[in-house]
Amino acid sequence: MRRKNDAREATVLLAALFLFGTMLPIIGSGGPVFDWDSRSIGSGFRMFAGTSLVAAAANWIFAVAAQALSARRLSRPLKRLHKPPWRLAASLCEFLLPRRLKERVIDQHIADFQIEYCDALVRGRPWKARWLYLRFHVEIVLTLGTLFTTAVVKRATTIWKLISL
Amino acid sequence: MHASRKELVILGLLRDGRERYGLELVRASAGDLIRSSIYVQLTRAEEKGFVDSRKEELPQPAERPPRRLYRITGAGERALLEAQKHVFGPASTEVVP
Repeated sequence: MRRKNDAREATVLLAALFLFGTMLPIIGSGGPVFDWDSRSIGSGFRMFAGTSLVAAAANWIFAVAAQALSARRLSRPLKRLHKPPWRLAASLCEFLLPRRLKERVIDQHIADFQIEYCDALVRGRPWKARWLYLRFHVEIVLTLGTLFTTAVVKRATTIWKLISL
Repeated sequence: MHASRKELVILGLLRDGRERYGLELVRASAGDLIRSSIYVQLTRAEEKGFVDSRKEELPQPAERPPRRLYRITGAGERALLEAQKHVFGPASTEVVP
């Protein structure tokens, strides 16, 4: 993937340099379009050829450097530390909910998700793991919605009872 | 105290006296209980005194939060019997172990 990106970058740079090489003599010499003097056209083409050669050399150097860099990158093992996928939900719920409720409701969801998620990864089923990840977050949102609705209904009932007395 | 329909399903699944955790109850309920509300229902049932819970013991250091294991209480069994009596009549209580 990285090698492909380097190749794409090299192609874009080559195209840019080629365009630059083509445009420079035209702009620099006043351009063969506007000045039909033969000397000017000759000078323009010499400049065009020179700039193209410089561009080609620069591109070759760039391509070699990119290849060397990508080879060096690929020779090193890529190590990346990931946060656990339940981290965000756990932090958010820790902030929003009382400790007892978080421990009894959200931590139970996290424990279930953790077991199923790790099991899917160990069995080499990344798509199942992604599906579980999505479902876990939907469950957390629905659970928070249920808790919120329950709290509102309970509070409203208490107020209504107080008023009716 | 009055038990809701879902609480009765939970109590029915816990009637055999075994300790179970939330996901196990969802799987055993064949669609009557859903994952997103099971722990809210269990917390409410515990507040009403129908079920009792304890934390699962994990080897330290624990790699995941401990699950809670739930079991039915005497009040839960009585609520279940009351509900069965209400739905099926007094004769149904003799069949229930």
